[in-house]
Parts: sequence; C-alpha cells; structure tokens
Amino acid sequence: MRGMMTLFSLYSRRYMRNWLVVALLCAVFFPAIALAAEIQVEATLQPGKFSKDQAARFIVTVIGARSAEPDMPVAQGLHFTYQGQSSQTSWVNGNITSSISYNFLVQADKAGDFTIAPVKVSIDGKTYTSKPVQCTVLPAQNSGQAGGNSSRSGTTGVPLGADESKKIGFLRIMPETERMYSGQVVPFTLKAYFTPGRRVTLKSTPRLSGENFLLQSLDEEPQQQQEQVNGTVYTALTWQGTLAAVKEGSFPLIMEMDAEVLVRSRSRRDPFGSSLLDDPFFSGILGNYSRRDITLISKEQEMTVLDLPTENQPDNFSGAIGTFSLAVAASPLDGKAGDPITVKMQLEGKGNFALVQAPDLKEKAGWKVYPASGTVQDLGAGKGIKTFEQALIPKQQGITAVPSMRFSYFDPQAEEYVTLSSDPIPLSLETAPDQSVGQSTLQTEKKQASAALSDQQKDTQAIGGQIAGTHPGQHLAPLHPDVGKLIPAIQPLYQKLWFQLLMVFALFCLLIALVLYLKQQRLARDPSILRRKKVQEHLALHYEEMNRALAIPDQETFHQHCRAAIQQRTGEAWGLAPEAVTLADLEQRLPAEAPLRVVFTRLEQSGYAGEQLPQAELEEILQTTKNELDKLA
Amino acid sequence: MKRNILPSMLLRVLLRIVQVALPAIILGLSTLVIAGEQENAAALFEQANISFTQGEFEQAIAQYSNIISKQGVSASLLYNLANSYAAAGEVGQAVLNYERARHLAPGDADIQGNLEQVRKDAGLYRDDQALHRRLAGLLGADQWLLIAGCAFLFFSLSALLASLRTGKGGNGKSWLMTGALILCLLTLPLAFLRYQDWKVGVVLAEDTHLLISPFADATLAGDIKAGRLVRPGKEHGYYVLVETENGKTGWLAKESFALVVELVKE
Repeated sequence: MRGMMTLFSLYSRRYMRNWLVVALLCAVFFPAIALAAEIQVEATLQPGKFSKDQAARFIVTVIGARSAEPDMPVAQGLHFTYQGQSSQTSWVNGNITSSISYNFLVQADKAGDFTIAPVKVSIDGKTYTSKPVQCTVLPAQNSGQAGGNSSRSGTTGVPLGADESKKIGFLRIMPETERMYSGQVVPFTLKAYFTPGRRVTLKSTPRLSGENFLLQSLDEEPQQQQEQVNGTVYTALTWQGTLAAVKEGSFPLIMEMDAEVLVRSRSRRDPFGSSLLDDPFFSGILGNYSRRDITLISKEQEMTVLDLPTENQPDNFSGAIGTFSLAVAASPLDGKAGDPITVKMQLEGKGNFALVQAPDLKEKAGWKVYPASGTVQDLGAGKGIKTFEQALIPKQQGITAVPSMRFSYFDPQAEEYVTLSSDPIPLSLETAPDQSVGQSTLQTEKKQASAALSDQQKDTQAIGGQIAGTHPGQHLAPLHPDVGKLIPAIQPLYQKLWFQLLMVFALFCLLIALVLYLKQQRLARDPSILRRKKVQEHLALHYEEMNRALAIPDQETFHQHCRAAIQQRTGEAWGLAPEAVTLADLEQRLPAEAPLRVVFTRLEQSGYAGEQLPQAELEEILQTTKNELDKLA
Repeated sequence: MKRNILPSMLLRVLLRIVQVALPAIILGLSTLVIAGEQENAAALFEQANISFTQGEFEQAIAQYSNIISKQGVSASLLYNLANSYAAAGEVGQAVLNYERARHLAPGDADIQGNLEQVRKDAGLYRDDQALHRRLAGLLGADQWLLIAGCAFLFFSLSALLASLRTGKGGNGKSWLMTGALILCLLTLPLAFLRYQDWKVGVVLAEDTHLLISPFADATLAGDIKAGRLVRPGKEHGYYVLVETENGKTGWLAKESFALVVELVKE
C-alpha cells in the first residue's frame, strides 16, 4: 500500500510539474499570440487642415505590437521629419492592448490638397499597411493671430468652444532668456495646466508654432505635479527642452499641443417631467460623455534674436555658442617619431553641441594631423559632453610635447568670444638612428615582407622599391608575383566538405567507442551474460559433435557430448561448475519423470553396461536433450 | 550460333573501353580546361601587375577585378588588388580587400603589414584589445578550428582504441584522451571568437555619418571614416544598425559599407 502511495505520489509530482510547465508556457505565449493576431496600423494627421506656415503631426499607430519598423511616410509636396515614438499598454476588461506610435512632423511646400500614401510597417518580418490619409494645406497665415493664452477647438472630432477650452487648461512657455543669438541653443520649460477632475488625454507632443524657431530637444515624458496659479490648483505637466532661432529679429515664441477631453453632454429635458435617466447618478453610470478635441496654445513670448558680432571673432571659431570647458589627454607618450598618438579632447558645458567642432592644434609644424571624430552625450537642458578623438603623428625627432589645443566659442552671457587653450602635453620620444619617418617605416615593412618572400619575390620587391617614390602606396610591401590557387569564394573551414566528413568520421568513432563502453559496463555489472553466452557456444559445439557421432556412428562420443551438454546447461542454471554436475544432482533437483533426468540416467546406464543403443533412440535422445536444455535456458 | 556471339563480344569490349576511357577523357579535358584558365589568369595577373608598376592604378584595379569576377579569388590576387586601391587612395576598398586576403592567408606578413600601414596612414586606430582577443588573434579562425577538429578526431580515435582494449598502456591512452579533449575545448571558443570577425563589414564611402535612427534626415550620431570595421546588426529599410570597432553604434546606409566575407564569384 505504501509502495502504491509512493508510486502515486511520484506520478502525481511528475504530472504536476509537467502541467505547471504547460500552464506557464500558455500564460507566456497566449497573450503574445492574441496580440500578434490583432495587429492594426492606423495613420492619423492632426490637424487634417493646416496652413503652409504651420506644421501638422502625422502619427502612425501600431496596435497589438510592442515594436515595429515603419517606413518614412511619402507624399508629393509634403516633408516629414521623424520626431520619436511612444508606446502605450492598456488593460480593458481583462484584455491587454499594446500600441506604439511613431510621430512625424509634416510641413508643406504649397497650399492645396494632398494624399499621404499608405505607410508600410514591418513587424516580425511581416508587412502591414495603413490607409492613405487626405489633408488640406491652407495658404500661409499670420502666426500671431493664433496666439494668446488660449485654446482652440480641434478640427477632428467634435469641436469645443474656445471659452470652454480655456476653462480646461492652458500652456506656458518659459525660455531661459528672452534675448538670444542666432544659432544659440536656449533651454526652456513648458508647462501645461489642466483643471483637476477633467479627463484629458494628450494627443500630441508640444510643438513650436511658426518657422522662426527650431525645437532642438524635448522631454519624451513630462513630469506631473499639482501647482497653484492665481489661487487655483491645477494639474501641471512640465517638459524641459531646448530651442534655437533660425534668423535674427524679434519674433513671438508660441507652442501648441493637441489634447482630447471628455465632456459631459447635456441631455434634452423631458417635457413630461424629470426622467430617471436625467439623474446625475445614472447619467454618470450610463456614460453620458463625449470626446472633444482641443488645441492648447501658449501665450506669445516675444524673443529677440541677435546676430553674432563679427568683431574680435577668432579665426578658429566654428559657430559654438554657450559656455564650455576643455580637457585634453594623449596616449601613448613614449613612442618614437612616426608612431601615432591618440589625443582625446572633451568639451563639457552648455550650448549648441551640434555645431561644436574639434579643437585645433595651435602649432602644426612637425605633425601629421588626421581628422577628428566626435560623439555627443546629451545631459539634458542644453548641457552635454562632446568627446573627440584625433590621431597625430610626430614627423620629426626632437618633438618634446603635444602642442596645446585651441577651442573658441561665443559666450552669450558675457557677449564675447572666448578661446580655451590646453596645456602642452610632454612627450618622451625614443631616439631612432634614422631621422626620416618614411625611411624607418619602409625599413620595418621590408623586414616584415622579407620573411615571407622567396628569391623571385625579392626581385619584385626591388621593383616595388623602384616605384616607391612614384605613388601614394610607396611604403607598402611590394606586389605578389604569382596569382596563387584561385578558388570561387572565401569559404570558412566548417563549410568545406572534407572537414565536415572528417568530423562525421570522428563523431562516428566516438559513437562506436561509446557503444562499446556501455556494453562493457553492462557486462561488468552482470557477469552471467557472458557466462550464458559461453554456455551457448559450448552447447552448439556439443550438438555438432553429437550429430557427427550419430552419423558415423560413434556411441561413446555421442554419450560423452550429450552428458557434457546437459552438465553445461544445468551447471549454468543451478550455479554449479559443469563438471561437478552428477546424476545425484539431477535426481535431487528434477522430478522422477523429468525427460532430462531420464535421458541422463539412460546414458549412465548404457555407458556402464556397454550397451549399444539403437539409432532411433539416439536420435530421440538428441532431440529431447535439445528441447529440454532450451527450456532450461 | 558462332556468328551471333562475335558481334555481342565486340559490343561488350567496346562498352568496356568506353566505360574505362570516358571518365579518363572527361578528367583529362577538364584538367586541360582548368590549366588553360589558370594560365589565362596568370597572364591577366601579370598584366595587372605591370599596370600597377606603371602607376596606372585604376587600370590595375579593373584588371584584378576582372580576374576575380571570372575565375575567383586568391590571397595574392586580393592582396595586389588592395595594394592598387591603397595606391589609388581608396582606403575603404583597400582595407576591405586586405581583410579578405587575410582570411585566405592569415599568416602572410605582407598582407598584415600593409593592412596596418594603410590603417595607420588613414588614422584608423583601434583601442587596445582584451587579452582573450589578442590570444585569439594569434591564429586565423580556420587554423583554430583545424586544431580543434584534429584534437576532436584524436580524442575520438583514442576513445575507440581504449574501448577496444587493444594493446597495453591504458593509463597513457586516458591521458591522451584527456589532453585531446582539453585542447579541443580550449581552441573551439577561440575559433568561434575569430569567426565573429568574419561577420564584419568595412566602411567604403568617405564622409560617412552614423545616424541615430534609420531615416535620411535623422540626427547624426557621429562620423565614421572609410576603412573602419563595423559589425552589422538589424536592418530597417536602406539602413543597418552597426557597431564600430571603437564601440560606437548608429545606423548606416547599406551602400556605405561592404561585408568582408560576402565574396562569392561575382
């Protein structure tokens, strides 16, 4: 009973584990399958009508996927600028829906009606397509007309009155300065205030109105907090960003943003008195709300954009505006002339890093200078670190230091140009016997080449040396004179047939070795297998001899092998040495009428008595012995 | 009856001759064709070398490329082609062909030396490599794999001999097996590491920029020089996300670089 319980417990545990794995797999894969099955691609333009001097937002929304790769939208006469992506996951009535939106800024060359072609989106190797989107571009308007601390109703959905929109919320843009220079990056703070208790959904990221400023960066996610403005508590969303001016002059700075608000609809009054459904409780439950689109527009912020002064502008000024600090490091410092030195330059600060060029050498004589490559690390709010790497090669002996690096920028607060200079970095170059870098390099290369070249190739090397002064690859090792063995393609070793066959052979050998090893292990664990096999071999031999003796006929040999056969099998079955098995053993272990005992007794009797048995009886004995010994096996 | 046997015997003899001779004829003809092609390639190669020595690098490039497109590649052919590109000032193509030549002849001092020289001249410096990378760099991927393969074969044969229990020295066989297995396990990761280098591409175009997203008007993520090695990742439209040998990542137009081992007979 206990055994059965243990067995049941083992089985139940194993099945429980299997079911648990299956359940986990289902839990992981079923939502994914459900999501994959319901992929939709939607394209929307907000607003559907916009003027030539404004921009619209084109949003490609992929519903039912967590990642996708959309193609750039295409429309004749419209320009698209990719502005980032946002993702959303919602849980409604137990169903999870993921969506990802790709935002593009749309601008038009001219007024008119346009069609944005379907956008292709690749998801896990499959291509999905949105529907085409129509839009109307109106002639250019004065951007000031749309300004003011106001909101305007959207063109999509059911519009909301302007006064009503103002009650819902407003935008405020606060640039760090109102006086800026053309090309300068100015950080700003943008705040969207909403009256509490409203259900507002942002439909777009904030955008600049007009063409006088460019949005350089903006937080993807705003910070949310409660703020009090003129005694009223609002829910405030705050973005940090940077902008730059395109040209000099005085321009209004306006930002706008699209949102959607849930507004309670007014129900008609029942002429026959108050209906139960008019009760606010039921109207709330029954969802007596409608969605309205609004566009929040910030109050105009007058900005003065100045041109950079031309007086005292340094020669190496490349357009950097802001405040920066410079750090320079170089390595290695203990090589020899001709060896490259990598100089790392780090500019840290606040400014327009896109226009920041690498610092230049104050003194270039004796140096071979390569172009620098740079990377920017954005720290937010206009701050950042730009790191440049530049390779320099000292061409002469006797150079003692990496010259100082210069970087010039315009400081908008001090309203003057500033030039930063690094300290020279001391070098300890080894003194080489050859004074010319070119010669030393050539010597090195020739040494390398000579190791592999044959006498015939050395002639070519001389030719290479002869032409050395005539072409740019002058210090390269010479051409190879022989074409060598041509092959159709560069193929890795593991793709070559001979190697694959060799590995298959090795694997085959290993498998055979494994099989043999397992067999040996089995025999070692159970020696009776081997013993049984040996007995079988002996029996076959005895039967063969018995048949031969029967044919001659030779009764003595027949008796001898028949007895030996019985002794072999019974000895193996009873765990006795074959030669030790006697008639007494058979009488002790087999019943009186057992055929084997009868045969053995008959053989003993005839052997002692010298009796010649008839041929038919001998054949019967042989058959009986075989049958009975097979049964014992 | 005798009249009938004779033609059938003749037929059998003829068939036998055809059976024996036909493969030999085909083999001989194909050998002749291959030898002819090889001679032709050698002649074209010689002409291209002469063009190079006369300073006509563009012509030399065209001639070497012609041999590659018609008859395949060899280490020397790719090396000379790379030299021509280097002499013509096309750093990207030069590095690409040196890298390809290096895969065919990993130990060639000329290829290695010229590649380093061209990279040095173009300012293509690499950060110091990790110890395991430097160790793997001692041999080519094929060489490491060959060592691992031979060690595996040796291990399998030793195991087979040990299981057959032939001869004496069972202890010695065990040591041999263990040694072969350790050698195989040590060299296989190095081969794998080196084969990762076969998946790189070389930037061909000058003034190439890395973009932060796969669109033509995306913000620049940095500059990348011709001849830089890049490791391509996922693709989007005409762009590929790459990681440079210096650890920078960004999107690069597909036509801006070429894969080192994509060299099938063009």
